[in-house]
Amino acid sequence: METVADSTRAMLVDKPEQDASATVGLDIGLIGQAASLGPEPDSVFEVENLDVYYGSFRAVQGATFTVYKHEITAMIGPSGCGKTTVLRCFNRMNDLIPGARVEGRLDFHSVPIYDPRVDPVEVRRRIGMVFQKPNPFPKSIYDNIAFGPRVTGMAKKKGDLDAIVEQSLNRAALWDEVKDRLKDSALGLSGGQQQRLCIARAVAVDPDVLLMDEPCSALDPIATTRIEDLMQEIKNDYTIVIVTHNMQQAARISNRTAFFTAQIDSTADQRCGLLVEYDRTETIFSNPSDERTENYVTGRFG
Amino acid sequence: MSDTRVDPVGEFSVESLKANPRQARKERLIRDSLGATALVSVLISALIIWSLFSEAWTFIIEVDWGSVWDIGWFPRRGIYDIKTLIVASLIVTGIAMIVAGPLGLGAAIFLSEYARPGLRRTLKPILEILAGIPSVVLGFFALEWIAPNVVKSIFAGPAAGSLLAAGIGVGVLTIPLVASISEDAMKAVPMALREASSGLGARKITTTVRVVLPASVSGLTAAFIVAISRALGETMVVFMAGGAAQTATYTHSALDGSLTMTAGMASLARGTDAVVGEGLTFQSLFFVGLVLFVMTFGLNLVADRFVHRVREQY
Amino acid sequence: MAKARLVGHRTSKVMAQAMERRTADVRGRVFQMSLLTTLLISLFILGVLIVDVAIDAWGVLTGRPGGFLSGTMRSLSDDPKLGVHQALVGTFWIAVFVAVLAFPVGIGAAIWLEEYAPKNRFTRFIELNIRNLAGVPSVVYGLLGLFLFVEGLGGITGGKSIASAGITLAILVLPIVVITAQEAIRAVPQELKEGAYGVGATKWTMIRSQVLPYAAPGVLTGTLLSMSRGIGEAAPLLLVGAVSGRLGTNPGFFDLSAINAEAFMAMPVIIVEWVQSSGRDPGFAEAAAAAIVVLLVFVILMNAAAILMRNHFEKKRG
Repeated sequence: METVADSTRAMLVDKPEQDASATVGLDIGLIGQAASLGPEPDSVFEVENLDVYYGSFRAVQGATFTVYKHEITAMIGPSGCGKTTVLRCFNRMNDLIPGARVEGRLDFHSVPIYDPRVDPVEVRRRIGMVFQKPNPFPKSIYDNIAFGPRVTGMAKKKGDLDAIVEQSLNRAALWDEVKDRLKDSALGLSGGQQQRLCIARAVAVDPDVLLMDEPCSALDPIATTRIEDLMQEIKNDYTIVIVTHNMQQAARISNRTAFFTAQIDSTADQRCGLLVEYDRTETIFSNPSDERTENYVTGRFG
Repeated sequence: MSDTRVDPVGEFSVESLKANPRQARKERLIRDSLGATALVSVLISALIIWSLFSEAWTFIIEVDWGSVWDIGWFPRRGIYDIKTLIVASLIVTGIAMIVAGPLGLGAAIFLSEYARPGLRRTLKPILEILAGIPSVVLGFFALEWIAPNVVKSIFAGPAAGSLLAAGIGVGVLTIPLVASISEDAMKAVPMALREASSGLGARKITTTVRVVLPASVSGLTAAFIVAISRALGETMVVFMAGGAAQTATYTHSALDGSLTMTAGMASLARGTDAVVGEGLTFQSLFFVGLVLFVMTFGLNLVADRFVHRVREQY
Repeated sequence: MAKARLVGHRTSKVMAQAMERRTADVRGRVFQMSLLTTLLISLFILGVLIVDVAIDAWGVLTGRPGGFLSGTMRSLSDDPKLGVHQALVGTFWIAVFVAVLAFPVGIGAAIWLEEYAPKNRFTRFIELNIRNLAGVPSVVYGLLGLFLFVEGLGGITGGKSIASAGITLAILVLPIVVITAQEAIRAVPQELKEGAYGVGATKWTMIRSQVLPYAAPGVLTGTLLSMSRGIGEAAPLLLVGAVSGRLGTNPGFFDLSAINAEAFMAMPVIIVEWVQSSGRDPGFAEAAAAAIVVLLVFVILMNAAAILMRNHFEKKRG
């Protein structure tokens, strides 16, 4: 059986230069020690024993991992495994769900973002988010991008705002397509364009991190490729955490991969998300240490 | 560009992620002001109950209870026969439901199950216009048209006001109410149930009568209870077309004129000097209001239960 | 082969008959026709009502439309100065009170309930309370107005004044404003809200920039409906003491001193007044019909605008 992992491995071999910066000085054969060789990049998020509850329901149990600067970190796993829940903890989006509660440590540049003194709004200004379904505001293209800078008070003058809009649309590789119709409604764009607009909207407030929640799941393959290329281009400026249900996508674009699964919580008889394994992407896909990971990436489960 | 944003060395701390105090204060102020507006509704309820009880209490304590069960409603003479008003209210409400029940339900079934979208788009707004017509207009219509053309011609009643004319007028007023709540209830029935029924070879009429109506029975019940409550509380139609002014002798004939609870209050309050009349006249107004309030409040609570049952089901 | 034997000659004949019988579903036809009839009866009543009122009003409205709008209350129906000016002024001010008091408070309460309120018993109590208020008979609101604004706070409101009436009607329509605004706000997609939060909007910024613009048509529809309810409501005005008989004064539209003057008239009450006077002077029935036409023009225009707007936006958003 030709497995997903096989094709993934083939892909990784196909584009060695893409991951060159991340894998410098690494011997792919030395699985498990890879992380301790070469100089570790700075950490952005440190997650330790993270539990997430919705009311009395425990959605995620004991997740521990670190997200590194200027890397793309992918979170994969079957549905209901809590990967989106964890992602939404990073910018405190879960605060919007009544009854949601977080326990454990989640540090952003060594600052505990669930500290009672921390304002979630400030967190979200530094940690942008792109959602599963493109969600442009029912406003003009220009106003979509300008929204963040306006509400955060970044740009007061019209000229500054124009510059930010152009720069952000450029970063999202959308400028050439929309520069002549900035005043048109964003809802007139195609799905792929809308999603790139949402990426532009997120980078317009100049965040440190971009969280992406299955950003390509509503898009066709061509639009998906464009978004993936875009992520490769901007990862030198941003730290990206992406949730995806598409394993090839994780293999293609990410430096590290976290594999989550759902397991039955025996005490409460409920399904609960669990981080099974976290490692460099090539390790997860070529030589995982946990059997469950292997079953998943080879397509035997999930 | 990227490295200047968050400096991990030294400067970036919990302080950097603290809310801007001015902004936080503004947010709190907005939240609290909006919360205060929501509390206004509670204040209003409290004021309604307070106003009803405080005056009605005086009436309950001071009134000669023999006069509350007497020959009729003559408040200015100290005769406050509440049963005259209640019976008249029940007669009007009963007639109204006989009119509005079938007409409203039939219209709802047609709109929900039979009307093609185009037809529905035309018919529904007309029904909504009917819902928006002020009750004084229906009062005028009941007195000037329904009384001579329906009550006199068909039921050989008086051409002027009567409980029957008022009841039909109130019925017309409540048709859109019955229709819209019933239609909502039927629309809430999942399409899958209809398809399952049709899939078994049932005709449309069978699907409608045996599947859709039973499935929406909670909502239909709510529609009728709300309509009853509305009919009990309707004032102007009965005041204008009920065929009695100021006073009423007890009657249980729909062809007579009489005063309902609401019409009794309106006629008592009519005019500048009427409200502050002799003895307990003023207080009797609040006593009747309290009786009406308790009745409609109970009905509304029950209807609310039924509506919630619909929401829980689907 | 086996199939052909199973569906033999007789069977196929039975089936053909059965399928033809569909057109002969008499019961279904009768049922559908009677449903349509019930609907048509309602529409017929509406038609008769409008025609009846129009016929009665014809003489007055075609004879002296301007005079009727600028005239005042008179003791004889053939008085050439008979008209609805005082009532129009009263209804105008009632509308102002409703707009100024009920709209902001009602929309504010709806925003709080949908966006801020914690999901607990207290919130559920407030919501139940608002639904119940919407079902309280209008005449009971009249009692509240009489007790509180005419008697209790008479010193401020001027007693049986336009201010008392306006506040009472604002209270009456408040629950309708809240409930319709809540529905409109609830329809705002969660994705839009998250999009705004995602770039660092505060709650209020999010509400102002996303929720309110999106919900605006629905909220406006609700305010139009409640306004038309407010200006057509007569029962509470009788209780807070709209004048009966003749009203001596005739203030202009923007005469602020009239707001808490101890006497007022309003469109729905002038109709009642004239219907009652038609007993001794039948000509007043025509004046009442003419006043109804004037009132209906406002009410139906507002309702139609609300319905059209709602349908337009429902269609636009699918």
